[in-house]
Amino acid sequence: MSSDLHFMTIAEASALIKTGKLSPVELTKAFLARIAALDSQLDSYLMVLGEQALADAGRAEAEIAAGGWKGPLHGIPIGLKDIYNTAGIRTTGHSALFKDHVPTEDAVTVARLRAAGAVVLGKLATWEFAIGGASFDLPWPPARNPWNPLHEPGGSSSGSGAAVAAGLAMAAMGTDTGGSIRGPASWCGIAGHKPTYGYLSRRGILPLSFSLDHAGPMCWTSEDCALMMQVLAGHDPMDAGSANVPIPDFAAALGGNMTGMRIGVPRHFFESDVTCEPEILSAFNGAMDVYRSLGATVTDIALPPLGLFTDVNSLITAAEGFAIHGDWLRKTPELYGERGRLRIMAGAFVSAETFVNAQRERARLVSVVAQAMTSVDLLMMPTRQMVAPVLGGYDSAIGPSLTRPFNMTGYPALSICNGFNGAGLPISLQIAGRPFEDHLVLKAGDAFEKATNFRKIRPTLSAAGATPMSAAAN
Amino acid sequence: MPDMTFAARVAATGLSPKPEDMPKLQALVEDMDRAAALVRGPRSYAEEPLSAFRLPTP
Repeated sequence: MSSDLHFMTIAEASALIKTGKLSPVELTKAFLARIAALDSQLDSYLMVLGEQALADAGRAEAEIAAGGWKGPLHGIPIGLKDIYNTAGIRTTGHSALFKDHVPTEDAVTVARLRAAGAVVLGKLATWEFAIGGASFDLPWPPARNPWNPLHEPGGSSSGSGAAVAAGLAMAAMGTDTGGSIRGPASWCGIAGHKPTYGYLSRRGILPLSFSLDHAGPMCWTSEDCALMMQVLAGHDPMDAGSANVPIPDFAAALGGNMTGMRIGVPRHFFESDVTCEPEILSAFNGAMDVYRSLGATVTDIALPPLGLFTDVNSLITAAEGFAIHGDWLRKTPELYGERGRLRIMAGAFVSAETFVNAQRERARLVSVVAQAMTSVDLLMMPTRQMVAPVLGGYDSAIGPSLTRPFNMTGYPALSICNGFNGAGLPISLQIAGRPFEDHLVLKAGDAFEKATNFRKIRPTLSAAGATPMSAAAN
Repeated sequence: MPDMTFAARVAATGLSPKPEDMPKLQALVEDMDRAAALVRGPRSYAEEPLSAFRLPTP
């Protein structure tokens, strides 16, 4: 267990909070002090809600003292990507267009977290409207990577990844349309879970692509993601994509060994469809050895080309995104940053014929993956083929993506830390499963984290360690 | 629409990107056009899209 309050996991902190050994107020104060001391290096927060967070923490403390402990999230400080609506609190999408947007209701997921007693520390940086890349022409600077602030944290849930890795939030909410939870989880060395489509309500989250958007938790460990999922998952009859299915006990599924678990590896995804950095490939093969030692079987399988998944995902995202933003882009394009503006504008050029054909191809791809997963329980691959590049130099529109197949299929997919390269930047492993088998995906992530030592290594930040902003911008 | 100039295609959308945006936008659109050609087929006329209309079961 970490001796630093800000580096505790939810599982560790909640056990102490439940028994009165840790005060939610003291915990929240520790996070707020750390944000005040260090976030100028990372720009992970767009808004810190200090007074409200302390009031919520005080209420949690009183409830727990009165015997009203609500569960593992009671008194836990979290952050929200700033596309989650918060009642009476600005929700900007990191865009000048929504600079003064103040929703009247919380997103359904935010309401669930608040009802479970979570303490909202603030609103976190994102790529503009969850698309594009790190931008320097928006009202707020882009978030930075805590392992090296000159590098990308990934996106679009950039602030969520940076804040959790740096100990500026115990957990955060992200969203994922093509990899926006798993990408920053990968480059920031944390656990990020894109749930099965339909498990979590999307209502009250600024949309990018209705059929591909997923909400999900970003935490230090898979176990913490499971604890978050327990609160977040549930049917929302007012979300057309919401699934009315039984909710398992995600945390109870953790533990035990991996005996009998069949892991499929679409090796062509990362050995020929894209080329992985050698250290990532080596780390991946090492991870498969770990799983074999835990009792799983590992078999290479073939899926359609990664580029096809990426292209279909791009067409659908572009068309659906432009349907949302087209009117604003015609009237006030100057209120968007260049990257967001151009990426979304490109959707104007996707014809109705192309959109329908993309959805027909998507149906075919879903069917192929479903068939492949009758012979394996999980799919594993690196989350990203490279470690975090220098900030500003990454364009998410270029090249095949290892994360997009699971937005296309809606299948659950988790990114966990799989070590570090020679420069100390995180390497990741992606674990995908069958629909509504998120508990197996999280079990596999938890088993790996507990069999390795990567969760014991944290980024080093100090108040004296600020990075010159001009150096990073170049 | 290969016989239309890119400027004409832009005008047809009602968008008015900055002149300096045009080369980057054109590159993104060319990538979309390439992807569009990939999903065009051939495929059976009966092949349904994922977004086929579904009513909830009683």
